[in-house]
Amino acid sequence: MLIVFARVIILYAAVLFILRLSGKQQVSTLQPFELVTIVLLADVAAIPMATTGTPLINGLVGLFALLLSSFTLSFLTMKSARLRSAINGRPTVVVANGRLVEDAMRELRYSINDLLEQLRLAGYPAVNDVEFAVLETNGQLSVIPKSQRRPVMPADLGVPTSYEGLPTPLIVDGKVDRENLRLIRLDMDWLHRQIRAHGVDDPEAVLYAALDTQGRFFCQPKGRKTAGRLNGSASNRNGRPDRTAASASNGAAGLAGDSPLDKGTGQVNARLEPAEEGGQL
Amino acid sequence: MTRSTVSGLTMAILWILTVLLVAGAHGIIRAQESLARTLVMQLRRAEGALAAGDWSAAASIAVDVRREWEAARPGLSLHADHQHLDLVTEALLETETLIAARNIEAVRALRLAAERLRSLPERERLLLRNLF
Repeated sequence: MLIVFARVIILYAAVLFILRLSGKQQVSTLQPFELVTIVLLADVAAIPMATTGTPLINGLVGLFALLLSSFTLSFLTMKSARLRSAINGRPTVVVANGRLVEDAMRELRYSINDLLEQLRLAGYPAVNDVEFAVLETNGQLSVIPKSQRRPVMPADLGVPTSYEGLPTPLIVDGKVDRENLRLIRLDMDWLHRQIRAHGVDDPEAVLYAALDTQGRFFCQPKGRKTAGRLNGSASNRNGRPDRTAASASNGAAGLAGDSPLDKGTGQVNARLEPAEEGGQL
Repeated sequence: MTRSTVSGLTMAILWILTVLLVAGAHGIIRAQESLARTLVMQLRRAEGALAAGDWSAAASIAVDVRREWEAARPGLSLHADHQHLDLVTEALLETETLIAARNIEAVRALRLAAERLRSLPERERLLLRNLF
């Protein structure tokens, strides 16, 4: 019994490690070879887990073989377009200029009901509102509506918009994300000043704090009852309350410019842009 | 270090590990072959002793073979099928017991043990008959 327990722990760690290495695609939109990896991972891991007569190394070697296959295929498909289309398939146009492409649908064995369902999910119940619908290699349907049927964009109205970007989490559950702090070229002194302005002395007492690309700092201390409303507060870069600041969402951003932090005032001066390196989300 | 460098490095490491794995597996098979060859040879000597009617020499060889096998077994169980290892142990024990009892069935048990030992590295080999 103890052997099975130990095996489950070891193989769990191995599968988790491989999933982590395989990337985010493995758990969201899957290419065929990625799906095979996922399906086989559980099976390969389960054999030595349940059969104590099989050496554990056999399971680990199997997992390693899956990882190697997955990595090699993704590497080769990245290098060769021909191999990519052979392994992943090619996107297929199923609606063109508001009309169903019968041959393509028959070839894909893609029923009209399935197509209509996907179109409804995309927000286009009428086929004739769709300019193009493309069935992607991962099975998702991309819908390009006719220009008269798509939502109005600020660009259509000629309305200028400012850069928004993504907020950068700086404290999550009391832990300061020093890497994100470094990416936006700010320091611990600045962070301490910001949380102090929100009535918190210790970063460990902060549940979540983030800085958005407009320079607004959001801080929510731990242990406060929400009572049906948001209990976080936002301030601008100077630490003054900001009534317009919305609650921050996860994301990463960096700062363009050499020195975004004015040491004298503690203000962020540079324009905020997405970090090239990408931070921790 | 950029992400593409990390990706390329991971790929290279994976292939280096694969080469090491193949080399390691080859080494393991060679070690198993060597062990099986030595033990089978000793079992044949025991069979010869039995044919000559020297039961005590056969018993001494059988004890030595089992001792040698028991010493090698923990290492083998890391990569060999545990069930097959049990079968070899069982056959060697049976051989030892039958020889000690001076039972003529010991010859059959000796041959069975030799065959199970011989097939140990065979099962690990990358052969079509093992793959399918």
